[in-house]
Amino acid sequence: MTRTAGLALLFWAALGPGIAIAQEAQPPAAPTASPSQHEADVEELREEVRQLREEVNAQQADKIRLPAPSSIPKPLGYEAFWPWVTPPDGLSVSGYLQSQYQYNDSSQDQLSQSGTLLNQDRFTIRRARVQLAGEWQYAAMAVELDANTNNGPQVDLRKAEASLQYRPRHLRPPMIMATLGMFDVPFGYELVESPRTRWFTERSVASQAFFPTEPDLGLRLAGALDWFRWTIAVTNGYPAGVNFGLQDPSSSKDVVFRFGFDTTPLKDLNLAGDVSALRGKGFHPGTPATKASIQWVDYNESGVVVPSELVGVPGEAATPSQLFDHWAVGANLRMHTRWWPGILKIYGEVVLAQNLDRGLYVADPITTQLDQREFGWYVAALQEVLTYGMVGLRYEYYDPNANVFDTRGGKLLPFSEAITNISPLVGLTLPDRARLLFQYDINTNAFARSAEGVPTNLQNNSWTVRLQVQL
Amino acid sequence: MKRAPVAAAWSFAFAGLGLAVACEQGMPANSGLTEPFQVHGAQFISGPLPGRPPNDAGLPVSADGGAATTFPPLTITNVQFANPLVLPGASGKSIAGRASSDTAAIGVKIEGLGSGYWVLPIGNPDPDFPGQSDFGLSADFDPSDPTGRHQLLAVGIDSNGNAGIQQEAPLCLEQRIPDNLHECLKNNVVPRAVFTLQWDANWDLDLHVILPDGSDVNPKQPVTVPSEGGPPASDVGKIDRDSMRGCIVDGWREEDLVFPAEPAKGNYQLYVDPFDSCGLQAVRFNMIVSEPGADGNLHPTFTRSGEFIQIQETGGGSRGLFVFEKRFD
Repeated sequence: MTRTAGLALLFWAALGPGIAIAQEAQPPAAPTASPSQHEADVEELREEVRQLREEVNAQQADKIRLPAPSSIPKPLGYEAFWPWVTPPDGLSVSGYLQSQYQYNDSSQDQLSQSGTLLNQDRFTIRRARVQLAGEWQYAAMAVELDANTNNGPQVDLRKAEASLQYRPRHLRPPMIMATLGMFDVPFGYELVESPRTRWFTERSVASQAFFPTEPDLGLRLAGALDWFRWTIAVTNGYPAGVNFGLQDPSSSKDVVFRFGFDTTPLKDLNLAGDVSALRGKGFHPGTPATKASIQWVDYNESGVVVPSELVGVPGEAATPSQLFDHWAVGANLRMHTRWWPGILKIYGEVVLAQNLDRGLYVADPITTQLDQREFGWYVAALQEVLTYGMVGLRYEYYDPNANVFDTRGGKLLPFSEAITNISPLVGLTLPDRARLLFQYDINTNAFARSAEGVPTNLQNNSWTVRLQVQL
Repeated sequence: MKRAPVAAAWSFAFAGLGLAVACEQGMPANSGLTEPFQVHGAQFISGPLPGRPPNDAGLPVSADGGAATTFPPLTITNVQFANPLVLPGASGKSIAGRASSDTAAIGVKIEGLGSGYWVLPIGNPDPDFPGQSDFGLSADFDPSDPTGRHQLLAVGIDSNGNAGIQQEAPLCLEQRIPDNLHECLKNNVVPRAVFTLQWDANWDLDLHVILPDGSDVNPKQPVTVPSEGGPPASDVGKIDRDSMRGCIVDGWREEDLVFPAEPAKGNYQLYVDPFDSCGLQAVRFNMIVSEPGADGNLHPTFTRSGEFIQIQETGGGSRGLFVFEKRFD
């Protein structure tokens, strides 16, 4: 049955009793009424029904046009990353849950010296996020909370943006937007790509080393003009997850520039890319003053204290904190194209940095007087398979220090601490509702030593099964 | 027609990755925490120590009995300990030595113990011993290691993975309950009795022993006979330490009342005082009485276990829980 016919039935069902009552109230029709009069009455009623039907259809159409999150058209290449999102007008709530099982070859049923868990084979709630977004003509806001069990249960604020904006076209990003608050650092592509839309389970190793978590506090100016995109931000420079994260031990700020494009030159082809630059100051913490103490050093390993084994440790004066320069430049390119299996996305990013590693080989050149030069890149491809499937592959490389040496046989030998990952994935999706994916990470590193004492790979492959369900 | 090559490319890519997964290279993760000893900064490798078994000649010597100046390839020329006696659970034990300069790495293990060996790169050339390079390592020993005499095996490995002759170096692991080092030094006489309190969590537990005369020996009054100003006599019973004092983690979690000589006749009442939980939920303890056996070694003759929960901590307000009464005739 068509929708129009169904509505007509509903309409007659609603009007039916009223008509029946009206018929009972009316006196019996005069038997003298002519056939032409009867036909005129029927025609009048038909016209009335037709008008009512049009009215009902119009109301129904209005209901369909009411804005809803899923009603926002998503052009080819659409991805939810800020500030280029197009939320519905007014307040809206969204959220997603990522629960997973992860296996890692380097997992051990032991505790580290500092008491942290070495077991990595476990079920976790990786992300459970709820976002409240507000979108009005000249203002916008976003608040996002994250709950997870990555290091035990915890709840964090992930986003708190208050914005003024000029957005002349409802379905396009704002022409200009000024945001004050807590937002994802607009450097490169991975940092601002939402984990909700990203298929690979985590950002690349380089990105995680530079920015252990995405958000920082600051001021962001951004705008979109046709294909041109620009972002300038001033942040504290201490993202969540680093020492003094979301605080700021120094008055200097990090400045981030990102300029790029986002265009659809052909109906089934979207191209986008950015160049980014960051400059700021790192912080070398000073030490507090200490008092003198006595230390026992068991020189002869007898377990018995003798006077000659007692060593005085003089008190030490406080040392001042110091700042050092850090910077990074990067570029990324993304392509979406639609062909017979579905949308193919190919993208890549390269970053060159100095003293910016804050999550892996943490850079601090104050003591060594040597700047730590970092270099990372990745390329990735994602292929949608007939709407409900996804296959992907990412290759990534990160060299945390181009100046590193190893000591063997009394010689300083240069070697590479570079880490590479090859990450194939396969996934199933219910569009805009759920994802189930399996990702295998083939990791190569220099964390171990061979039987000849040479730095070599530590078996550190991992795989993840993740289920994501979203509002 | 264009679909087939693309599909084939994806298939080959995933097949290649599958092969890469199947042939994972590198060292498996193993921190060696379950091994009898751990070497700081070294790599643990499962499997037998490479190289030929040690010969009876020991370390190479010259014709006049001094240190040799020429060696076969990959020779360990010297192994030294600061002290070959290893206290139970010793940490940072120093082991040093030299090897011929063709050596790239040193492999070490305790003969007959553990599932693998440790490897670390050779150090600098030794200016006093031409043709030789130094090595040094710092080792931690597991408190539950089998006690007694053992051999540390060391072997030189070159850059191609070839290994030389394993070299033995004797060491002795002492037992946990203090026996006057009798395990390694057999001429030392074992104590007449030892009361031992051991526990498993970082609580501050205290051993209390009520002597036949009614006095209370505990970590704060640690001797059975007051010394009246001077050091305690050597034959007086003493508690060896106040473990976890002030909740400072010391890794021992053990207190022993050691009687070097025959204890006074009478009944000895053993208590455990849960002084401070240090913020932890529960702790389990063992009370052990050890006495010399017919073989002259110290053996446990009585063991009793128990558990405290946080609400039972005393803060020193009592002797704690009565565990056992031991009588000496």
